[in-house]
Amino acid sequence: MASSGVPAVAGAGPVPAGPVPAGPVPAGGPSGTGTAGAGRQPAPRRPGRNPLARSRARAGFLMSLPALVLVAVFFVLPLILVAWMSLNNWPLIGRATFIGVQNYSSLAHDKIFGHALWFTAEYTVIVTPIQIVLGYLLAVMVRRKLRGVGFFRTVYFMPVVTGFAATAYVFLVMLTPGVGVVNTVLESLGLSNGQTNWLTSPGLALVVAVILITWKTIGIAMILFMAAMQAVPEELYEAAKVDGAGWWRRESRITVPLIRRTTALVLVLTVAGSFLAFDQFFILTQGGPNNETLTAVLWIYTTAFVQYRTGYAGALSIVLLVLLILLSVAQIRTLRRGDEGS
Amino acid sequence: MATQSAAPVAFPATAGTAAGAAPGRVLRRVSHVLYYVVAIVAALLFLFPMVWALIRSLQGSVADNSAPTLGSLVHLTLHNYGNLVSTGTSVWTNAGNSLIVAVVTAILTAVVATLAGYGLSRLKFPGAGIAFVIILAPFMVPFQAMLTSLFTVLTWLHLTNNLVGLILVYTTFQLPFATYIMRNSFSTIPTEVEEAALIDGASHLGVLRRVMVPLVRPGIVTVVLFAFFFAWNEFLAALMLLTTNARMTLPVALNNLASGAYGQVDFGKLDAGAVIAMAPCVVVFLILQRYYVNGITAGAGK
Repeated sequence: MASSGVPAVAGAGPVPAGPVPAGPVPAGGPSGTGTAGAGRQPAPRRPGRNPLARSRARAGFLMSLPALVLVAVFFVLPLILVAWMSLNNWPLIGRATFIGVQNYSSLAHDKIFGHALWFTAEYTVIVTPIQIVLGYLLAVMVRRKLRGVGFFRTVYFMPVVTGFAATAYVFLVMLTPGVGVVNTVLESLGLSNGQTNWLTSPGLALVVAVILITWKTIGIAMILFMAAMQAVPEELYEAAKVDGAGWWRRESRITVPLIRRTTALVLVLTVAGSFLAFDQFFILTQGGPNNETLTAVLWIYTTAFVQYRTGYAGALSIVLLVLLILLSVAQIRTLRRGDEGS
Repeated sequence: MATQSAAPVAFPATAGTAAGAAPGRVLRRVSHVLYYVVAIVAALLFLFPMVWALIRSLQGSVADNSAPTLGSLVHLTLHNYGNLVSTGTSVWTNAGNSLIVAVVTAILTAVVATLAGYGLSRLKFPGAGIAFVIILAPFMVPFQAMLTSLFTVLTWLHLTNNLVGLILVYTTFQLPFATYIMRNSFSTIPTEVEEAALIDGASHLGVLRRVMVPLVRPGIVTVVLFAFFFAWNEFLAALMLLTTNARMTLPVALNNLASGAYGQVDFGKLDAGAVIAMAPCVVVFLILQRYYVNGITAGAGK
């Protein structure tokens, strides 16, 4: 991984045999577009005139067609449909009737959805700084060139590739009173009476969900931070050392500002991911007790597939969609602003 | 380190004398040891849930459904794995479904994304830019926000409770990442390579298959890995679309195990099911982790 960070793209030399995708991409800028631009050059301007160019364009279109058809049927169509459904009384089976914005006006009085959005936001606000700080610290640990560091990297990253459902069930078993190991250990350490009901108290369930998500996904933040840190020129640190800057100063004055883009990226990924939280809450608490740990997606799922209020679920989806788009626009804005500063 | 002592003495703070060197070395050794202590403790924390589930899954059902004791941990048996036949459908059937869905999704994603990536990056056609934006769009709008309409569309197509439907949905939502990776992979290859083959009279598809694909193999491995993991692990869409036991994928089948028969959950079986769900991911990752990690950093380049 370390070696694939910034390979020199040899101009006319042999075709890079190494990990091609990672090559110019992390740098994001000049090297990537440079090679792409070189490919464009020989292509004639007007494909209509030249039979060779026409066959090339036709082949290009035909090759992109399967992807376009899939996206049209399973993405664009449902996207348009959800907007339409939200304006209808749409039972799961049977005829739909157009009711205008009625779903949206009843949504305004939906206390449960309001609470679900609030809980989702709360969860996001707790998870995000943990991901950034802990991800950063783990990256500091694994960016070093030490014996065994590769092993640590692999281990810290491993939960990322396992499924949410599987790991949530593992946690569920570990936390079940009378069966799970967590209560047994806490009791033997004298820290509890061994009867803690982790998943039926909203506060504790939230703690469990945060620990689960951190354990499960922190590896992504770690790897992103590590890759960014390794791209910081070593000379900067050497120069700062010569100037007598200690570890803390080097870290806060060199690393943190230079990897700001990555920090923003981790922020975007974490916020988007937390806002869509479903699996862990569905499995650990089913949103209970009293809908206290209900997330937005879990409520949408419940209205659609438990209560069969499909049109109403459509309206909820549109609200979530708009929120997500607003969030990502805001985040891209801050990301851009960060760039201008550098 | 060497530069420090060689540095000009302009900064009194760093002008370490010979006397300062010895404590420095001790300090470095202490921090070294401290580093390994912290790193190993963290590693144990990360490994614990998975290893623990494995150990518990290897115990008899009596031990599994009561609090763990040190004595019970030693008696290992495959009892739970043989016992995974729950109310009619074996969890092994569900694991088979998951395998089919994951493998087919991975292959389909790789084929469709390779074609599109090549078509979009090398065989520029009018509207290629828009086509790329459309294919990337599912990146920005996650499918969680259109559950109901996705379900409706699949009902229209008679693809609910159907592995084909699930595979097509998974492929669609893997396409943005996969196409992005493939397009980038192709654009790192010099044009001369394919120009030469084209002059020799090969078709565009022929060039792609015989000349280009071998050159972008790392990209393809990355795409396959991501699609495989996603399809193997995905829970929400499968929960929504699959309704009968025999069709369910492993994560949804775990949900059935956890609901239990007659309200009685067999925790040993649940752990065994979870281990079957996690093990392939861990093994595949250990073998091919370079490609997976590359995919993460490459995807971040957007």
